[in-house]
Amino acid sequence: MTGMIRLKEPIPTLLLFSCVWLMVIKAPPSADSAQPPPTSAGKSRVKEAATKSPGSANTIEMKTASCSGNDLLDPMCRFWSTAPAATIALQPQNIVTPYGGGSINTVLVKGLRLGSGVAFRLEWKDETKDNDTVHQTKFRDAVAIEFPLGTTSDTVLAMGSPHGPVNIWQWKADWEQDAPVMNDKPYDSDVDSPSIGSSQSVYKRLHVDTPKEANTAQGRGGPVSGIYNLFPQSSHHSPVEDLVAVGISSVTSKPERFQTIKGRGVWRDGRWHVVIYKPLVEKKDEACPGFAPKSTINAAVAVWNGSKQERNGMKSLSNWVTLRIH
Amino acid sequence: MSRVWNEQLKRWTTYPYDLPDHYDFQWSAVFNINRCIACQTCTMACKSTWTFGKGQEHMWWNNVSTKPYGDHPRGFDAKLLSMLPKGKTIFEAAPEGERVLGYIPDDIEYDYPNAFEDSPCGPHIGAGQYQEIDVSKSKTQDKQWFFYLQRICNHCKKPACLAACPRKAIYKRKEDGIVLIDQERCRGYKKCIMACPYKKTFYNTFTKTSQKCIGCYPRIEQGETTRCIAACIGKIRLLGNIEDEKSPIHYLVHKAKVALPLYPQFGTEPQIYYIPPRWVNTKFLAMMFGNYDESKIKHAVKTYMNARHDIELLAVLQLFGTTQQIIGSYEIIDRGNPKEAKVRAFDLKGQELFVVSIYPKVEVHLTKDEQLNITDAKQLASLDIRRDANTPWRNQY
Repeated sequence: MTGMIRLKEPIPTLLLFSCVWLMVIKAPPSADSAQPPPTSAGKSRVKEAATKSPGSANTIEMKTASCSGNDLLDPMCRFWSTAPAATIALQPQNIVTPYGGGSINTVLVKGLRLGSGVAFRLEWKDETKDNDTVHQTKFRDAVAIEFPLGTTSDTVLAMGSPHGPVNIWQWKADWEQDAPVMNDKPYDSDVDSPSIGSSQSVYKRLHVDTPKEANTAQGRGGPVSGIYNLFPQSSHHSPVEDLVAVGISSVTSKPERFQTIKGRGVWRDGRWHVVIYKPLVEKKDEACPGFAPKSTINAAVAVWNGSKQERNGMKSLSNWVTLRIH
Repeated sequence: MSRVWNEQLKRWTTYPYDLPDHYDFQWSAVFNINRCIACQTCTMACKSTWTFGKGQEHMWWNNVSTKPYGDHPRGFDAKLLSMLPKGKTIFEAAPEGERVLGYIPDDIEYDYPNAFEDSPCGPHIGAGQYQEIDVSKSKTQDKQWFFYLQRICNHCKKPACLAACPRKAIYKRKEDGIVLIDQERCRGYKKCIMACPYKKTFYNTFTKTSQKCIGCYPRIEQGETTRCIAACIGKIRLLGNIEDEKSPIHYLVHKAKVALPLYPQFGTEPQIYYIPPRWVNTKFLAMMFGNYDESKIKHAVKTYMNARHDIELLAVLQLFGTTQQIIGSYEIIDRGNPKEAKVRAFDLKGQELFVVSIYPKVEVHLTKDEQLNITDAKQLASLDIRRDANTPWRNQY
């Protein structure tokens, strides 16, 4: 079965996606049955909290707006004030180990249909801007939106399942083009020492006699080369990664030709303001929700606070909320 | 959590996954601490082969440190031992919401990998004074001591890195038990770095992924030993398949019981076994190699010291550093004739590799100790610098 995204006509099944592409997602090497099972107490805690939090919304209204090219990724642009905001409650993740999160309680979400795509604006309180992934004990701030891809109505919130896959768009603070990691430049061990403890740059000029290709992200310094992983790239064309998951531990980057999501994050006055924009261009085999007008789909949000050492499943996450597309 | 049998602790423990108890081939090695001079040839052989790139500057997949004070990252073992409740493995002591007990070392802990090099432990010995060695009691109780600890990834049977990885990016190869991080799946969460009790997974600051000792698997697949083992000029290392009863590794660990695992109390079943140093405080060694059981150390040291009367042990000790091929099995020739006795080694396919004398011919000269101005043979013997023509193989130790 090969599904295609058709934007110009109503789609009876909201969540068309391609099984063909999903089948190439690498299954985790260990048996799934060996995964520590989610605790039922954990599941119910998340559900309860997300529905009972006072003042929180469970619907995001997605209207249509227009904007010019440069404003598209500007989280401070005026057209965002026209979009209805939804305050989504977040809870610590305690469904599967490692547990974590809980330092971010709410995230303000707005959604818009913009031109030929969809955009989301996410805003949350975070006193520290964490975009350093060079030092050993540092972790990035990040935010992600998750959409079910399957046709079932009960897609598993925690990274989906083989029968109900999910699509995840994750923005990462250190993937921003202007992420000032060290000396306002991307980290370079020929110049910067990763040690904060010692003032001297012990690794300066260490690689003068190493083969040039070994000193690139693609060369990866020796033991590995020729693999597809977006993390080693020294510069990223977008701070947003497009992922698919079919269960715990399975999250996988889409192939490079599908990495079309753009985004921008601005940290100001103790708050992150992040825009994620997905152009809905018809691409064969791509696993992506349809966002058809006059339809509703589910979505969930997760926030990582780097200063609290949050990464992977250690995150604050919402329950499923409804995304109503006008 | 699964219930798994820990062969080193001889009890049932917990582990997040069901892993096989038995592998047909388990990558495993014995390091003879007594022979190491900390020349770091192994360290540089590894560094120049695998970790010369950007972002790998702080990585020492192989390092040789001076115990008791040194190691890399600094104080990793003391730190974890202080966190670990006695009698529990790092899996059993995992905090709520975690699979493994551990910590991530900070940047500065990776700096100065040879800190405390050659720093001894024990009472102060003043200028002009010398340490007295009492050979009449025991050679395991020198007042002042240090020893070199050679460390690489232990390719554990219950790997903590594998248990902790939320990505399942780490796997243990069925064909040889080598533990690897899939660089395509790794997303740099550093859970393996937190979990590995030996701190032998490292975060690459350039690729933003974690990397670790790969057991030189491309060489293993060719039937060759690892770079660190092949390069060892002190001939202190021997690699083999511990699951094979014909293997010299199996003999040293399971039959002679002369080689012991490092910190077995962590519960990961590490697969590097050490012949403990004969001159070091037994209690300290019991903490490191015996799960606090001093009798294991005493047995290992006694057996090792008695090697001159144990032809099989002496034969196996001759295999160390003799070839770059993995030795699969061995046989002793002319066992009854000490002067002619030899050991023949075979590779993994059963092909003969070499034949070597068990008692090497050594020319011995009685001499005097210039520093102490002693020429009397009895006095020399009491100072443990005996040159006894009847024990020419004493150079083994």
